[in-house]
Amino acid sequence: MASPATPTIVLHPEATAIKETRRAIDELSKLGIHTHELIVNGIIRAPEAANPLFAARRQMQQGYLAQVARELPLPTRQMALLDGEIKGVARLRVVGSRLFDGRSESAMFGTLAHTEPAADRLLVDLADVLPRLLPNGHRRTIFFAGKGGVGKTAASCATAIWLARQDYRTLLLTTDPAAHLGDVLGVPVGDAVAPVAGVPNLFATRIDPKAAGEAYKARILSDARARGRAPR
Amino acid sequence: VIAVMREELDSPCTEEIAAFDLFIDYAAQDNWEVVVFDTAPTGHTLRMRYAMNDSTTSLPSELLDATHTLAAALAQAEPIVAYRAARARLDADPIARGLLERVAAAQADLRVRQTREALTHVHVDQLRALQRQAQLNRVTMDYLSAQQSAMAYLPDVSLEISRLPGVDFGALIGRSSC
Repeated sequence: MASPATPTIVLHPEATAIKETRRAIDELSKLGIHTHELIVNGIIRAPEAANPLFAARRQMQQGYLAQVARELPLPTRQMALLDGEIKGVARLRVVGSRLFDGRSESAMFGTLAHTEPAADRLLVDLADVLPRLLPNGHRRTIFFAGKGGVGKTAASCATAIWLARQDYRTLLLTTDPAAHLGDVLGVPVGDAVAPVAGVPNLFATRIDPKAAGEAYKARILSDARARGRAPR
Repeated sequence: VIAVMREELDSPCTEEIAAFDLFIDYAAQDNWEVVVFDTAPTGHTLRMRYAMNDSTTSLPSELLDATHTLAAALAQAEPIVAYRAARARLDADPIARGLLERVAAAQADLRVRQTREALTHVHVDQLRALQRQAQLNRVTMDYLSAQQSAMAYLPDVSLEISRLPGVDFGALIGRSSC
């Protein structure tokens, strides 16, 4: 495909997700595809580590973040653990701003940008990340990959909303048969491309692998028959 | 052959390829500046990317040259020449093509009815009538037999290649690991 494709891997600061990420990066690089960035999701911010549970969990996460920095030398963006579910266009917009502009748009993130050292790193890394996310005159394809449950859908939605708000005509696609994408966006996503209400420039659709498989099978078999393998 | 193909197609692999196909269709549409793809977990994505990269070969240049020579030689081989000629005649003959297409459509319809247990003798008879018609058409029959010969010829080529290093390439090619 001629358009540039950029895989982003989403992970949690946890051993299993790191292992999966390393495997994905290796496999992709064997194919000559270079993962362009990581998004580490669900980070517990320092001010939240006030109780023993969160303090312990934050300590664990910091260990794994150090491991990620050591072993997976890629531009890395961090996404804080939020006080609520990432669901609906409004919240996704905020997440997008946090991911792309490095600024907090609402009280949800409090004073994060000022207290976390990660905020500085975020800005540095964005300079590296943005040129590979923006179309720059070509059509751009962005893949979100990673272990199940790490926030791929939320990251895809937030990215798509952010890009649409930058005036890029954006199509958001999923192969998730459970239409999880629609749940996260908070608007139904169907089998046909349709505009996403409340987000100009954003369109979404889902690819149902089962239905696509059936259609594909029928097409192949009828092709084969048309080429004469069948009439006996 | 169709039964074997159908069996081969009954795999999760097919769904992945099909979903990927659709994805490519969307990604190739001109009206998007950005396509954001929320994928299923990693393995699936890797296969998709693999399929995507399949079209750009990574063969070493000497092998690539050799395949080009082989392809050029094959294009001169009698069964292949006959097949291409028959195919060209079929493509130029809307009636013959229409016949094969109708047979294919009737067979697809029959299969759907079969799974829904709505198959009747009327449908089977219709298909048989179409098949008889196709058998009476010279262009379709020429095409089908040329195709059979070409398909029978290619394994000979693979056998000949396999003789040299002692590897059965035919058997290797037949198995697609998805």
